[in-house]
Formats: sequence, structure tokens, C-alpha cells
Amino acid sequence: MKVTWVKPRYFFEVSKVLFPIFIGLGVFFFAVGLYTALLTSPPDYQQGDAMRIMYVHVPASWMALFAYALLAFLSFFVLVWRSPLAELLAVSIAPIGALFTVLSLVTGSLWGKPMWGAYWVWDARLTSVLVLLFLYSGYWALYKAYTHTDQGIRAASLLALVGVINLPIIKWSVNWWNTLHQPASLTKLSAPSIHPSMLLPLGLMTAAYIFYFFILLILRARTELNKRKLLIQESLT
Amino acid sequence: MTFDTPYLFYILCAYGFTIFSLILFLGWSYLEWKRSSTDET
Repeated sequence: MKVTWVKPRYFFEVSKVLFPIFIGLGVFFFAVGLYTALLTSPPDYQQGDAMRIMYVHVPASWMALFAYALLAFLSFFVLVWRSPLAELLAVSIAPIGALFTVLSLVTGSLWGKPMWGAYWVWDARLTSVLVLLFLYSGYWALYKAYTHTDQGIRAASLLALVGVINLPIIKWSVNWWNTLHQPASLTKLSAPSIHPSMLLPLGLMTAAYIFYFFILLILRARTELNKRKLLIQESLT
Repeated sequence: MTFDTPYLFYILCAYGFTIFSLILFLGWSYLEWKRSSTDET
């Protein structure tokens, strides 16, 4: 069966069209999101203005998890079908996912200090997110450790698949164990326990982060492809 | 937001770090792409 959409060339043709649209939408959502997050949304009745950190912390955490799920999905394609596009995208996603994990951890600790009295506690949620950062670092280290890219990507993909076990642990750690971290305020199965005036900036900032993710993904995947083209050219000369 | 909030330091640090990191990472990725794109068609 001929599947054209998984070819890198097709992806890059489509991404060239989408790239400026994503930049425009990303800038728009960031501007409106920051305005509503800092100026128009009300303070929390218990946490006061410190709750505003949620608008940068929660989307970063969601994106860190989403990026890892996507990385694992693509890694499966790499291992089973050796798809070149999946390989390019997986390698490009790993540093972006690590960035969102670092943002989640740093903004979380800056929220934790005024609310819990400590920047860091060895809580199940915080520790499992730290493990997620180690998984991203391990993926990158394995990928770079081999002289042959083929071997590196296969070893890294295997780690990415094994690491999927950490995703449900992160998600349900706040329910399984007694944690200092609060449980989820937004779930698919019930009405959100968050007021619409706070839900709006959260949604806008999440949209901004999603567009930022795809802008970076296109940019880094194109860089990766160019690097490989250069390597092939060098090996031929 | 009331600008005399006792949490101003933490809010500024969180937003400052986020925006700084996002711009830095985007800039770095752009420079890497620019360096590699000599043969991009």
C-alpha cells in the first residue's frame, strides 16, 4: 500500500504552508492569554494572585505529557516500520518535551514556595515529572551516543516506549497517593471545578503553547532533515 | 492583578522564566535551522 502522507517531502510541503499560520495564531493566543491571565482574571479566594502561576504551569505540564505520548507513538512507528518521517519528528520532539517539563518543574516550584512553604518536596507528582525529564534526557543521550544514527534512534525509541509507564503514574499519582500536589481540576468525566473566568485564560495559554509546540516541531524537523542531507552530501564527496 | 500582591516576586519569576525560556529556545532552534538551511530547497 502506498502511503504518501508519511513521506517527509509531503510533510515539509504542508508544513511550509502551515508555519506562518501557526506563528500568527501563536502570537495572538500568547498576547490575549497573557493579558487575561495577568490582568482580567480574578485572584483565587484562598491562594490570591499566586494562582496566576497556574496559567503558565498547567499548560506546560500538559504539553510535557502530550509531547511524550507523541514521542512514544512515533517511536513505535520507528521500531516497527522504520518510518523516516516518524524518526525525524521523534528526534525533534524530545528537546521540546524536555523544555516543557523544565518549565513545568520551575513554575511549579515557584508556585509551591508561597503555597506550601517549599520549592521542592519529594511528592509523587513532582517526582514522577522529574522522572519524565530524565526520560527525555535519556532519549536524547541514547540517540547521540551511537555513531550510527540508525542504532541510536532504535535504542532511544525503545526507551521512549518503556517510559510510557510513567504517563499514567504522573496522571493518577495525585489520586493513588497522599500528595501535597492538588488533584486535577479538569477532567473529561466531570464538570470542571474551575470558574469560567479562570478557564478562559487557561484555555488561551494552552492554545498558545500548542501552536508554539508545532512551530518548534516544524522548525526542528526541517533542521534535522537538512543536517541529514548535508551528511549524505559529505559522504558522497 | 493588584500590583502590591505579596506574591509578585513569584509571579514575575514564573512568567519571566517561561517567556525567557520560550524565546531562547525558539531563537536557538531558528539559528540551528538557519545554519543547516544552506541547501534547503
